[in-house]
Amino acid sequence: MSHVTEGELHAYIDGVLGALDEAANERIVAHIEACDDCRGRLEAATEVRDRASTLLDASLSTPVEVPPFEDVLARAGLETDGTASADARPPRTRRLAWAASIAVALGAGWMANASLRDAGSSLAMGERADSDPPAPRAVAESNARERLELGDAPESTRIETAPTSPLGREESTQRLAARDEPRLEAERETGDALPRRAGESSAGFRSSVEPPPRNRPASGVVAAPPTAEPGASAALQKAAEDPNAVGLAPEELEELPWRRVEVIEAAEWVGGILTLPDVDVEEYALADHEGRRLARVRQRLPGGETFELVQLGGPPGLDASADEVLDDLREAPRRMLDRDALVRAGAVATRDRSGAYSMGWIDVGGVQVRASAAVAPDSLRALISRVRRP
Amino acid sequence: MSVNWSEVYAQTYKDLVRFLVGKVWDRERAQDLAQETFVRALRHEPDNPRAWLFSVAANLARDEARTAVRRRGHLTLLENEAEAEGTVESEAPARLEDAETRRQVERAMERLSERDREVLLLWSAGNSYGDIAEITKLAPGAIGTTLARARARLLAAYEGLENDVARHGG
Repeated sequence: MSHVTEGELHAYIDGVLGALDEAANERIVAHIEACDDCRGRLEAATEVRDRASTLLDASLSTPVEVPPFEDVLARAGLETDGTASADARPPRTRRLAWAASIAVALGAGWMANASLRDAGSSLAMGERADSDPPAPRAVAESNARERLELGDAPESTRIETAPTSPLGREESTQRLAARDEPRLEAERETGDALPRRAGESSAGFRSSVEPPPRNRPASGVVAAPPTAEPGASAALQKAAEDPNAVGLAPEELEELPWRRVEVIEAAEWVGGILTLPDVDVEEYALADHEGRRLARVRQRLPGGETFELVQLGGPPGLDASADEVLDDLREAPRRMLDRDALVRAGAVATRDRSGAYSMGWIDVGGVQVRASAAVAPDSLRALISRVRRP
Repeated sequence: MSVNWSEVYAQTYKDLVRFLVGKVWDRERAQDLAQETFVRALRHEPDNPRAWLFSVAANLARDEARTAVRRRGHLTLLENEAEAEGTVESEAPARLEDAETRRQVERAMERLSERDREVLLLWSAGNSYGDIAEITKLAPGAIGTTLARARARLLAAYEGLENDVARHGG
């Protein structure tokens, strides 16, 4: 007489043996009734099964409320009738759309700003805070070194602001005025590796940021000529020698006769408009200054600050495809924030709603556009996290 | 025949969560994975929806386990909650004991092979031998034997851990 196997015993205990094999079930039942050994093993197997059940119940039993099935549909991007939701869009689609937005925006910007040497454009940031005092006054107030960590960046990157020079803005500028350096020479001295055109960039997003020497201009900023007229605006002096610079101090930018326009007109005005993707645009505006076309974009950053780009129109040119622009964008080095340099460049501090002052500078090398973003660290972090390939 | 996923959802959701709790040892994560399983189900018309759901859930949990850290802390948190909430004295020890039991069972399960764990959890979640066979790709006739061994090994592992605790006090 063959005894019952362990598997058969457990299947019998679980009450499934009959469903699996009716004939086997009848045989086992009859055998157990006749076999003391198998009856003993049945008791032992039952105890094992029950103990295992108790342990699993103790660990797995958890009160669960069943969420409505509509939650599943919503998660799947479906309406309750099973049709696709209008708001549903796969994340990858959103990323691709954002990438397209970057390509279009930057490609257009590239077209408008052909090359560094061609002096297409530069960007200057204006500060914007609803109840802030004029920014230049605020610049000289803080001496604190700010260290910004970009948690969202693909690599750990720090952007630092150097302590504010004890010199006031005008004094710093006049120091510059004494240095008769052409822009390219200044760049070589600072060691800034600014690519000149798409494809030439060799720097990736570095895990550390190269600090420019103290009190020397950030890349792209030219020293004012020594022949600057006394009392003349330092920024205007700079503009006389640096065709890349907008050449206007923030307060001067504010005073231009800006005319609010639609995006298409702004893009046409300067040959392409640069914006941060996925950030609400508050306003496009145009101005004409001494025969030069300026376009201004204001966007609201997550931190509450307004990110403002002033773009200078330049000769059109198509030196790079959108892909090359994106490649350069990805490889654009992060720059050390030099408060003095930012002051000289016309970038200013902004104060966010919490009252904190901060400055930022983003150099998107190779795209021929330099943006100084005078925003709070969190906003700058959010901003830079967008400046990359999705 | 078209699958009425709404109906299957009502019938299967709790069992699926129970199964997934044993996989990821995190109730919230288990519910999230269960939801995700049903989201994926909406695009399919399997012959055996229940078996299909558990198969997908098992795969999702396996992917989760590859990257997630087991959240043992939540069991500790339950202990702390019991202490912090100042529950009635007679209740507090019971809750602590439950939390300790859960932790021990989790550890014991980790000592089992993946197959043993799988069949135990599937059976504990109310699946038939036939469904367990379909999900695990084992022969239906082998499920009884596999379960018998898995149960015995679970008990052995659990008792071994209890002995360790008794010997070393932790």
